[in-house]
Amino acid sequence: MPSNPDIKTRVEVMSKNLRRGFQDFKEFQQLVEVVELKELSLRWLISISDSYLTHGTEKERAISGIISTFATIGARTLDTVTLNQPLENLQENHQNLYDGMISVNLNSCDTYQNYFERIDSVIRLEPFLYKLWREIKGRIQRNSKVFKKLDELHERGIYKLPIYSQWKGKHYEQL
Amino acid sequence: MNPNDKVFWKKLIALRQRNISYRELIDYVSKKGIKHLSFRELISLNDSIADNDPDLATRAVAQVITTLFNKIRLCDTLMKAENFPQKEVILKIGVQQLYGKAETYGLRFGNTFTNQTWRIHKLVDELENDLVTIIWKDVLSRLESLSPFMKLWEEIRNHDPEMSNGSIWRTTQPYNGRMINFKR
Repeated sequence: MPSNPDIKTRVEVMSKNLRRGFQDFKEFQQLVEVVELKELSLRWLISISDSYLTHGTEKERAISGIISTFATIGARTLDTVTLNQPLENLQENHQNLYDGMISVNLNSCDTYQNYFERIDSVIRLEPFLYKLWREIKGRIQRNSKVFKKLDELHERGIYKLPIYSQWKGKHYEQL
Repeated sequence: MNPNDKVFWKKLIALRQRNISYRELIDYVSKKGIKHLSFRELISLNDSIADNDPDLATRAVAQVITTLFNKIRLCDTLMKAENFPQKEVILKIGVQQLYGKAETYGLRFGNTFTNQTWRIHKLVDELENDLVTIIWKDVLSRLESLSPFMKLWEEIRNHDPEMSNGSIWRTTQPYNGRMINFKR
């Protein structure tokens, strides 16, 4: 078994080569499915999901599509536009948005719990991608300013977990 | 809520209570079309596919659409905050570290968002499920015309025409710098 730095480098190089069309996806898959995901940064975890989205089977592509969309559009976009801004004075109750849509009720609605339950029920059918999802979701829970804020505002926590202050510094699997 | 299509809404509730089959809802929608549905009804239809379709890939793709919509709805919700950054502030955000080696992206000319939209489009296209394809295009179209966040994003993309690659929406030609608007 290669040492950890070697594995990280191999994942990075293979990911880049996949994008350029120089890498066989099966070989990439054989490596990432035995890698200790905790050793990889969020950037490369998302990159693995993106690679499955581009090169996997129909089922793998569809399932990794959920993970990549959550990570890219959800966490990264939100954290980019709100960078350096305190998220204060959020309207915590439902407000009308457009065309029958209402805003997410930040302190009590079931939107996120329902959403996580719904996507979990499908992602768990692909064991490796489920493992990847749990790692990515855990990192976002611990690091994303927006998702931490949402979790604080929500009466029960958007992940059915204790509020952030109680689990700060712990790995999500320790809870 | 005041439904646009009361029959559809009743069928949706009946499906949740297991009083009708998923097929019955889909047959109704296939016959009537989706253009008359409100955005909320459209998303509920998509969620029903995500929850009930017998084909796993179809369920997963419907969940990708739900995920995209859900996040943009959250952006729209956050925009209601008094101190949500103005366009000028967002424009000044360059590429910076976020966490776990993930970075912010160059909002003005970065392709991250666009590439993701393109990947979803390809996924939907290859699924070859007519209803999911129509829902996807309609969700994008409505987001583009109704969502304050998507409008803000388009403005940011088009702020500097010389630097921008154009619209955030793209259906074909990945990674070559060209942007093509959705044909509707």
